[in-house]
Amino acid sequence: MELPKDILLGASIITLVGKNELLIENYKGILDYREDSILIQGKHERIRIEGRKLVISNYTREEMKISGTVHKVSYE
Amino acid sequence: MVRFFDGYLSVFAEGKEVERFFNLCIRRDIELWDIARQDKGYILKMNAEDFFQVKDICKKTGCRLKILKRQGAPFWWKKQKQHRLFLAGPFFCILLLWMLSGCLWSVEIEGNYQLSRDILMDFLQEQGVHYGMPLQNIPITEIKTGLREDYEEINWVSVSVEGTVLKIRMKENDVWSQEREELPGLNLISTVDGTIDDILIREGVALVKKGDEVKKGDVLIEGKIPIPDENGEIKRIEYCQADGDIWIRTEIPIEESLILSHVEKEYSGEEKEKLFLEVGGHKLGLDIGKIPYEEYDIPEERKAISLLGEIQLPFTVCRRIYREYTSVNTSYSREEGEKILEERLSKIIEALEKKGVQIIEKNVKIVANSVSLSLDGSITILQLHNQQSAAEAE
Repeated sequence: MELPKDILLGASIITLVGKNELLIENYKGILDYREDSILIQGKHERIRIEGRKLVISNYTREEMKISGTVHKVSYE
Repeated sequence: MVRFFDGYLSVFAEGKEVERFFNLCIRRDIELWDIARQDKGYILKMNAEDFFQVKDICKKTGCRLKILKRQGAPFWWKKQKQHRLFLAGPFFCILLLWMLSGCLWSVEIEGNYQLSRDILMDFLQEQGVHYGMPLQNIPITEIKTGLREDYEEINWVSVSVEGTVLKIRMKENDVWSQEREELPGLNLISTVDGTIDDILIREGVALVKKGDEVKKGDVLIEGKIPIPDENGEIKRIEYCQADGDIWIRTEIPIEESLILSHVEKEYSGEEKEKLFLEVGGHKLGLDIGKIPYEEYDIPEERKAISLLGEIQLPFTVCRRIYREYTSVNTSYSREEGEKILEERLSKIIEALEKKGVQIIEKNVKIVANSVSLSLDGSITILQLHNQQSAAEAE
């Protein structure tokens, strides 16, 4: 039986719906939050989301939902 | 929905490590949502009960929280307590409707032709029935029994309560058959002056023949049959109810006149409406000021208020419309006048025909002078007499 990679590798899961909604799972927390950029700490990497009027619609331990206009998702 | 029922806060957060504040909150399973950047801080929403658990997190991260808005059921309810009377309004309205729907507000009577409504309403009053009384106190059985015992005219009666209406349905005895049983002998008499045109006897003795002139009240068929003995002398008299068909020819004079000059109402199209409520005969007006017209008509519409068609409430909504008009002196032309008189004549003939008479001749002409027109002449009719009078045959 093959275990899922997010459990095996502790990878973050990013689900992007169009360019207005982004869902992130498997993270440790928010490092920096501005209106045009959010920096999130994953298990091994940092994820930067850039865009316009970014709002965290929901923030729990399991998942975070970001809405607004997403221009770029990058790893640091 | 759950958030609404539990109550939540809109909060403004600012400080040194606000992002760390968010992370520590979620680690304690404190849910945050709608987090957005604003000025030098952040606005966010959190459950009301969680707010009191983040004091130490605020201290640790150097954050300050300021409540912007309190939302949700607990806060709404606390605010509404200041408007207790307003909230109580719908409750008392429903209570009042419920109470009113348990009382009698209307009486409907069907099938009464000989007994007037006033007589029956007086009877109900004697039985203790009145408007506004509780429905369960209406003595239905006593009303049924009382009506049958007190009024011989009633053959069958049904009494029921439907909604807030007391419904009485009855069937009365046939007057004619009742009188036939009671009286020993009846004559058939004339109700008009005229000439006998045709005669058919079924029972009784005819006192007239074809061609005879009769006056109103004359006996046409006598309700007694003389029985002779062997010598031809009257041995005894047997009484009966005179029966037969007698056609009487009558001339009905027609005299109708119409003055040509008259005053007509010319409506300007301007109107004003007044609504008012009638409760137990009293008018509670929603006044909209003095009527600004010199001359006006006042047609009125009335509508009783009822719930679901059966529960009649003691209110009537009335709508009065004041329609302005100006009186104008005018005159009918000869043609218009003749047309009006012809219409009147048609109505007279229609009314006669409805009574079952036959029109056999019309001798009516229109006579004109400078100021008026008139119908002059007569109509000859054939009228059937077959109803016995109540006069006893002596």
